[in-house]
Amino acid sequence: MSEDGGNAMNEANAMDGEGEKLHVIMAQAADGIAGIRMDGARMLRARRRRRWQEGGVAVGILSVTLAVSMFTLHYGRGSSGPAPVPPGAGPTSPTAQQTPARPTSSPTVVVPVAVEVYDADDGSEGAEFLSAFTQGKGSWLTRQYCQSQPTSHLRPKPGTGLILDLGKQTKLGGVGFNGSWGTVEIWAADSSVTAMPAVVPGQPPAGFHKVAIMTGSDGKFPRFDAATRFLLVWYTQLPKRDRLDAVPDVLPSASNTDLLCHNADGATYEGEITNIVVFQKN
Amino acid sequence: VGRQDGAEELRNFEEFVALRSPSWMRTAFLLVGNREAAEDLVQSALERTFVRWRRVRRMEMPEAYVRRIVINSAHQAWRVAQRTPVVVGGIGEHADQAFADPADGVALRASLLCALDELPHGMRTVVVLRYWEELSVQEVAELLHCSTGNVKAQASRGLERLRNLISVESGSNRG
Repeated sequence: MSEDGGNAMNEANAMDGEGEKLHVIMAQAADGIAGIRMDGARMLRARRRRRWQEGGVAVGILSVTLAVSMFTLHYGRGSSGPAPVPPGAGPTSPTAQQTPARPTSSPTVVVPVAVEVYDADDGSEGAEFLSAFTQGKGSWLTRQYCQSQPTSHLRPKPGTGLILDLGKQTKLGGVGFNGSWGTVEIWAADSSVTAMPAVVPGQPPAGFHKVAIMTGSDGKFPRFDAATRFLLVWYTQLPKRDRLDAVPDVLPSASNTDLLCHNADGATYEGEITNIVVFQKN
Repeated sequence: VGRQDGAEELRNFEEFVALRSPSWMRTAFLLVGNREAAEDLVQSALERTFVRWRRVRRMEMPEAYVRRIVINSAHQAWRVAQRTPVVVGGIGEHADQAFADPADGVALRASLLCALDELPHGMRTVVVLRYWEELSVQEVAELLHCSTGNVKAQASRGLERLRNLISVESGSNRG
């Protein structure tokens, strides 16, 4: 094998043989590492904790919403100024810290009863961050990509994001979003959707339709009218990661951060949702 | 009825874990280098999976979902802790001795794990997925969301570095 590891073509055959040898050695080294016994009580505790956390979504979102509402009242209707950043919000750039589109009467906060990942892949994108997000303790992060278009199996996918279950059919008056933006869309479910949809690779959730779009150029969701139980917050284009965010203890990241992208500048792209605030139309 | 459903769900999940957990544990072990840390990763991944089990079980490959959480959690732990690999002894110098008797599992394990510790995390992950899990270049690229060229280069360089560190060829020939 040459010393130049990048000469993959010349090394392809040699690698096959050595790869097999390495597998044998790994098998021997891992021999004796058995499976684990599932702790049923621990699993049930995790489920109970999650239910409490879903209740915590209410607390987290409510506190941010009150702050947003007070900000809106203080600075007058129609203000497009930034909403206060909640505690625990990590530094991101660019960021959208936005008041929702002005409803026609005093807004009522809608508290989601559940939040799930919908990544048009296998539902695992940012799953490790979902718990902290629903507790208001951290952001939900997408994977890191080598381009702004999210992909699945190396092919472009329509988007990635979160579905909020509002518990019942609800007339919406606006959505507030706090996080990093590229292109973020809001999709609402038809009344035929009665349960959190299963993730279908390469497809947006069945029965959903787009109701609003926010791009990095204006950073605001336009007003929209929709009545729905499920709401999809959907990244279709991801923002470039700020290099400052790469500090490990500031922003834990997804799987491929130390694999270099083949862009000229090696940039990676990643979405981050810190808060979502849903207002009911009164 | 709800309790019966819950018990049935737990049993179903338990069967899934019993069948698949040896594979996750060995992958986690090769990623992080010790049994306790590997078990933490897998247990944590199981908790995250169980709370979404009704959804996950409908997936085509629910075991891949758990594996992906294990891999992401390992990276998260590495990045948060800024873990620096610790080399125990001079592996390169003692490789021949370490592989003199392939049945010497303790020496073999120590040698391989120390050598893996020398690799950058991304490269280690590629090596484990490619040569332990025996995923194709394409599958590793899909799992890690990077290009196939990237995976080939990382796998090639990783293999070469491991070979230099533990004298794979020498050890295998003796086996």
